[in-house]
Amino acid sequence: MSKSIIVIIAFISIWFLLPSCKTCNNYVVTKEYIENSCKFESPFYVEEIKVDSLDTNGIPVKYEVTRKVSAGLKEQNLKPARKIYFYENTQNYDWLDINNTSVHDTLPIDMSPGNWYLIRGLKTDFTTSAKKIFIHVTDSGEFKTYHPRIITNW
Amino acid sequence: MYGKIGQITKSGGGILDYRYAASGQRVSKAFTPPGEATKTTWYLREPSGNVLATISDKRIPVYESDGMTVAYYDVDLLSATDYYPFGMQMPGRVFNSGGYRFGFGGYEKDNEVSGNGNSYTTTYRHYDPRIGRFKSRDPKAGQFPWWTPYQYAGNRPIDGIDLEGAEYITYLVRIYDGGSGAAVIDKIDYRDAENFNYKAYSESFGPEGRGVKFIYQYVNDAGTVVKTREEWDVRQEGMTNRLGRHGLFMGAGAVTTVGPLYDIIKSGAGNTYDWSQSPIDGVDAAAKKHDLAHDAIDNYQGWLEDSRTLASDRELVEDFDAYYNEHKAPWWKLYTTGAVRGIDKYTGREASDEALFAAKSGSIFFGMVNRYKEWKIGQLESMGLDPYAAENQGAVSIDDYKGKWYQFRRNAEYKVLKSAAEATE
Repeated sequence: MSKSIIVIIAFISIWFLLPSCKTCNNYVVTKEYIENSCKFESPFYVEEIKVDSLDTNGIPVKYEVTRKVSAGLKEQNLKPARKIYFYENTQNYDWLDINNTSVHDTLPIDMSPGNWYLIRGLKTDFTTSAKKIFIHVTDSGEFKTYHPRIITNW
Repeated sequence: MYGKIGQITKSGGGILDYRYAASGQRVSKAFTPPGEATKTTWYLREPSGNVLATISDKRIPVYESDGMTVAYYDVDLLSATDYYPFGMQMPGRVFNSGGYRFGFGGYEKDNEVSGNGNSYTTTYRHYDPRIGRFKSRDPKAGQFPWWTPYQYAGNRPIDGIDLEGAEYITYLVRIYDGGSGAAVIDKIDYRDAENFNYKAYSESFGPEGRGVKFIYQYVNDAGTVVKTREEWDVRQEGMTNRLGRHGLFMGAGAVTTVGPLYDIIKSGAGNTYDWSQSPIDGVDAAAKKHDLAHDAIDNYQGWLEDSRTLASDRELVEDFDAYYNEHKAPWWKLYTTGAVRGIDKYTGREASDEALFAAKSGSIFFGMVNRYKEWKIGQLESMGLDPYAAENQGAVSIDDYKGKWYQFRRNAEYKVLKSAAEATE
């Protein structure tokens, strides 16, 4: 059997197996934490945004970033976690307020009713930092998340 | 060819904007001091990269005989140089109005070493254009035993330039002013050809693996580094990532300017891909060409759902197939009879295992993508819609492609493409 046929069979077999494998693409966001099946080895960013317009699915299209912070390992050699809490300490992680370059134990942004927030820089199996999740805390305090389609090349 | 960024915002004010050709060579530099007009310098090169002249954006009016009417505008020539083949400046054919430091091959002049234009500094070595030789050994000399380790461009200065290589890199980026400014202040690239198996990998890579690593230093107003974070771009790790990605351009996304943080600094505005980076090999080069074609599409709807990408996707399959067929060697002969693969023109070495696998698997994958897009175009046409209009791309999607259980191939392709699409959403 030639090498090319082996490569073809291996490639298609692996692709078929992919959906059944554990992937790093599914993020769960609640008002308390963000969780992923893979560990948060790289920093991600939480932004406070002022939304100007929404698309037909209610996802922000045009917005202005008013504040940005990053969450990441305090030191690169520390053990990463699968769940990062917003307002409680997460072992080995800290939050950097990029606007004033200050370090905090918890998210220094208060997610309050009537406002939008954006989590970005999330890794998936195929992209380094393309995934983003919008959060809307409604006037009534309801916590809603939106996962927009990301336009990327291949 | 490395470490180039699109823009630098200086902490003391002022913005530098750089533009590059697809080959990575600088086309223009625009400096906007605080509160002042932008001053642009344009670089005119010949195909091998030599800077023949630099001009500013200042227009010098040439008047009619009445002294009032502008007949035409002349350029403001900042520098001009003609070269002998190996880069020595031609006597009497050199003009430099002040300060332009770069010349032959785009390298920076070291005029203090051997006089004006007689010594250049490259990333690794010094080059003397008068004798057409570097002054120290080639760090990749082991790959090219047929050349002297001091040679320039394989002794073919007319049709070649000395590739500075293409390997995985670590950047040190400093973030100033609450995230509003960033500058690449250092980079390390790993190109020690003696420390890796080039039959397996196209390029060498550093101790932490394959990809581009960015180390961000956050600096406060007092100039103190408050926090250091590390991030990776286009990292090739784990089963799925290695399967779907190769080099800097093949796979979802491409290497970005100033790394993942670029998107944060720019708040997602504009394109973040860094087209100035050189591909790591011929397969990565095909992927870069393909990605550039996608990037040129207005109101782009993504790699899977935009029918307007079909032509470039077909070309990619042709490029991948051509690479595979031109470089492969029977694998059982490779390790038994000393057979060699074709030489990759980007690495100067035999095509690697990973490059051949990427070419073959990429051809298969985009074969599926293309069959889907051909089907989608037919569906849109049957609906009376223009299949090449951006606004119509959502009328038919991959979910409509799902075949019945007996349509084995279509069902399989649906599953593969759907899975890949979801992974990038």
